[in-house]
Amino acid sequence: MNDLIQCNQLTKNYSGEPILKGVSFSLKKGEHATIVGPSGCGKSTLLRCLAGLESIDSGDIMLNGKSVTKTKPEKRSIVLMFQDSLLFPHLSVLENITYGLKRKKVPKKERISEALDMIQKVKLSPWKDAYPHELSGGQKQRVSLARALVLKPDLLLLDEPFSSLDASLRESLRGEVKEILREENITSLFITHDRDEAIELADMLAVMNEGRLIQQGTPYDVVTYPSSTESARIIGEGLPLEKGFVPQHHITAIDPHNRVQNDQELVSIPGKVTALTVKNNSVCYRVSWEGGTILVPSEDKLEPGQDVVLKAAHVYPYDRNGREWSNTP
Amino acid sequence: MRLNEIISGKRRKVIVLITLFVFMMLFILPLITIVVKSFASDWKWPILFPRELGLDGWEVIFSDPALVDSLITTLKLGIMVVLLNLIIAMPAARALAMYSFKGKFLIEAFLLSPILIPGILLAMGLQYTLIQFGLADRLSGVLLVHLIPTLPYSIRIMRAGYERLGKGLIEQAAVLGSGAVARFFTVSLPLLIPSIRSLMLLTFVISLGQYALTAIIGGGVVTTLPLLYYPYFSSSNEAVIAGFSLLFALLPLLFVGVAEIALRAVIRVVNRI
Repeated sequence: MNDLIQCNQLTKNYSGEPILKGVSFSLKKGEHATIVGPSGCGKSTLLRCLAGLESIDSGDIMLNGKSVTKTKPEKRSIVLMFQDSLLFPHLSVLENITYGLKRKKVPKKERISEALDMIQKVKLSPWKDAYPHELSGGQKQRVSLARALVLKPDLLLLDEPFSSLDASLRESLRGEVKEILREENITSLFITHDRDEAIELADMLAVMNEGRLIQQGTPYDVVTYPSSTESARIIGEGLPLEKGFVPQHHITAIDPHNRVQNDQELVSIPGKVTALTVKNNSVCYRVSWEGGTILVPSEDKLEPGQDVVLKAAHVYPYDRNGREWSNTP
Repeated sequence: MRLNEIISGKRRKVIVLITLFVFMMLFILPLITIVVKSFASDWKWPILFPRELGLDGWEVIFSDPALVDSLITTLKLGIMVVLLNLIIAMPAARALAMYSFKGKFLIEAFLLSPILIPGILLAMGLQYTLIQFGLADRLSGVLLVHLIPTLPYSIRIMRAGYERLGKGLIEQAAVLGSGAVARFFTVSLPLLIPSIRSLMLLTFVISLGQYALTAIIGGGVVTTLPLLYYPYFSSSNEAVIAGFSLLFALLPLLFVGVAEIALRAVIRVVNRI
């Protein structure tokens, strides 16, 4: 199957400062990819370049086999959904959603019917005549999504669209978005600095740091087998060590007294309990160690401030080969 | 503690009434006085109410053969000043609000400098240049010179408008398939209406009030309403002065009202679903 979008060695500088340093990746039709990385690593710039809002200094962006590197944003079939909903405040929900269809000269009857269908899909029918200031944050993002999806773009770019919402709304909305994207069979590229969000939304996951895509693969592979300490620190839930990575589920114990003496244990790392929390109905402890912090489930009763030893039986060596996302050069 | 918790209901009512009365006295009473005065032939202090009402003042105004011409010239000039201000100030303000570039500070200072230098000084200096270009004693020359006191304010107003608008909505429109012209008419223009309204009113009023600049550059050939109106100040007929003042006040309101209706009609057509 041919690639829908292919980016080759994209570079971008701002006042001499490199922001993108040779980013390459490709996506096939219907794929849902996520790029995760810390703030300031170049994720948003990459999306803006793909959408045509920023020019690139070198490299090539191919959409459906044709270069769109120099194409204006309005001529690309790529829609970017921003962090803020950016609804037009002087237009109603229906008018906002029909906005792009009107620019594409879709006949009036057709555009209203398509917009109403989409409004129904995002569960906003009672608010079709409301104005943006009358909507909640979650509703605004739904309208923004509907406005993008109704255009049936070749590629939908989502720039941390849920970051301004509260945790529970964010969680429910990302489930809905995932479902709608699959239903509509729209190829999407989502960027976030939230690890959980990245893993949940992706078919394919890439880790970005300092202007480079440092690892690409399926969410399971990337999370379980980070290709470097850098990648492990950004995405991996586990212990990024020099000799390799210990996935969280391989941490066999938090030992408060360092009692366990087992030959099979390759790793014993001292740490300190910093907090108690509940995740997926299990008691977990956040343990700080010299490489950062990690959340570890445990049935033991531990106190914040208590010294412990993290133990694991497996260390996976960092491996750059064999787990590439697609035909990355 | 909130203000309405401190002040009881009855007392609050009295304060509101007093405030309203003060506003009436400051803004509405002078207007009513001028309207009545334009119809009163002999109404002077300490007479509280006019003894006689009539159309003498208005007859003097409308019998002036230059009135219609000066009204047309004033309107023509005002409209052109507003349009030129919009054409120049909008892109300039957009660039100043949305882009950072080398020398931005110098350009800003240059664009705002006419406010700091007395207009009459600039006009005296410009007169020679305008004579050389054959623009003195002509409407086009007066139009150019009216940009001096108006443009700095226009750029300021539009810049604030563009800063409020921001880049986000325009970029959103672009990725939804909107070209530059459509983006302007469907997003920028409707959201800049409050700034455009302020610009139109202010530049029209400033242009309307230019006596010295119009007299120096227009050389008495270009007769605007102030050129016709100010000499009447030396007359003792206060009804005529009041009538002219009303005409003077109504012109910008009329212009802005018509312009607003036209603007809204354009925006409604463009933004129809």
